[in-house]
Amino acid sequence: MKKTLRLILFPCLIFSLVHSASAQPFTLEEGVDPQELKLEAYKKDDPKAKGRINTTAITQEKDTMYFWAQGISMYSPTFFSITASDPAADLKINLCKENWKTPHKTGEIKGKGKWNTNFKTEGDFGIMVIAKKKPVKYALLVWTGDEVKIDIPSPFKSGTSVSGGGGWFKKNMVLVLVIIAALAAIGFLLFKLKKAKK
Amino acid sequence: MKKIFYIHFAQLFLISVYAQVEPPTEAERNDGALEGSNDYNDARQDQRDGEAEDRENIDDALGDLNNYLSTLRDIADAYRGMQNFSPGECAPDFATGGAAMMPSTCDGNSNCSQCFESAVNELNFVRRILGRLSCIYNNTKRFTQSAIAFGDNVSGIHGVTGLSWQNARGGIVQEYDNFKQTYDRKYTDLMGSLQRALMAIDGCERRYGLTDWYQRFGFIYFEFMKDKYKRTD
Repeated sequence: MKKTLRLILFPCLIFSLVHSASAQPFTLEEGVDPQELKLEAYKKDDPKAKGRINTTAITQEKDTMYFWAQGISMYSPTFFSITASDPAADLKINLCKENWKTPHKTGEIKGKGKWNTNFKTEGDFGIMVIAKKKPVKYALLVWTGDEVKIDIPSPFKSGTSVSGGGGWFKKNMVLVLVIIAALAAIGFLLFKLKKAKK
Repeated sequence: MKKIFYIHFAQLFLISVYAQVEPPTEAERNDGALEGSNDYNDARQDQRDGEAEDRENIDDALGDLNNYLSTLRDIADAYRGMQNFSPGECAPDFATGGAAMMPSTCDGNSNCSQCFESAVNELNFVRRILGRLSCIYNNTKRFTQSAIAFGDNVSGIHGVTGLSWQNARGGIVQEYDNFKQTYDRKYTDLMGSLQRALMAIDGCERRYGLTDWYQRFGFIYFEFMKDKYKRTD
C-alpha cells in the first residue's frame, strides 16, 4: 500500500512542478500559435513500445506551421518523425526549445519521404514546419517511452566493513596484546634486577 | 378607353410570353440534378483521396516508429545511447562526494540483504526524483533568462513592441518567482522523503550491525544532499 501510494504521489508531485514550468518555445509574434500535439497512452502491453504517442495528419497551406508537445520526462526516450507521401513535398523542419529562432535539430524532406530523430529532453519541445510548396500533406509522429530505470551510482563505499566504537582496538587487538605482554615482561625483569641488586 | 386597351394588350402579351416558356422536361430536370450530384461526388472523392493520403502518411509514420523500435535490444540501451535534445541541456548528476559516501555492514550481507535492498530502492527512487527536479529547475531558469534576453533585444526595435514587452516581461518574472516557490516546497517534501529512506537503512543496520549508523554516516550524506539540491538564487 505504501509503495503504491509512493508510486502515485511522487509522479503527481513532479507533474505539478512540470506543469507550472512547461511552456512552448518563446515568441513575441502574435501570429505564432502552435498547435499542441497531445500525447496519449500507447501499447501498454508492449515492453519496448509502451509509452505515449501522438500521430497527426496535416494539410499545410501556410508558409510555416508550428506545433509543440509537452509532458516529456528526461528519463524517457523520445522519437519524432515527419512523413510525406506527396512527390511534390518540399519541407524544412526545425525542432526548437527556448524560442523559435534557435533550432536545435533540423531536417528536410524533398518529394515523398520522411525524416526522424530521437533524443532525451525534459518538459516540452517545439516543431516548426516550413513548406516551400503548398498545399502539402504530411503526418507528424511524437512518441515517448516509459521512464527507463537508469543505473544510479551507489552512495555506499564498497569493500569496507564497519565496526562499532573502538574499531581501531578490535582491528589491532593482537598488536595491543603483544605490546602489553612486552611491557609486562620488561617490568618483571626490571623488578627482578632491582631485587638482585639489593 | 386607351388605358383599358393597353392593360388588355399587356395581359395578352404576358399570356403569349408565358405560353412560349415551356416547363422543363423531366430529362432537363434530371440533367440539372445530375450536374449537382456530379459536383458533390467529385468533392466527396477528393475528400476520400485526401483521407486516404492522410492514412497513408500516418501508417508510414507508425511503420517508421516500429522500424526504429525493432532495432533496439531493449529500451534502456536505446536511452543510454541517446543524445540530449540541445547541447547545453541538463543531465542529472548522481555523483556523491567522497566524504559523504556511506559505509554499510548490510551491503553484501545475506542476512540483511532483503531489508537493505528495499530501503536502498526507496533511497534511489528519491534520488531520481531529485535529479529530475534539479533539471526542471535549471531548464526553467535557462528558458526564462533566454526569453527575457530575447525580449529585451527585440523590443528595442519598435516603441509599441517595447511597451507590450514590458507588460509581458513582468508576467514572465512573476511566473518565475511562483515557480521558485513551488520548487522550494517540492524540495522540502523530498528532503523529508530522503531522510525517511535513510532512517529505513538505519533500521536495517541497527538490526544486523550498527546501532548508530544514521548519526555517524547517514546524517553526513543527508546534509550533502541538502546542499546539493538547495536553490541558490
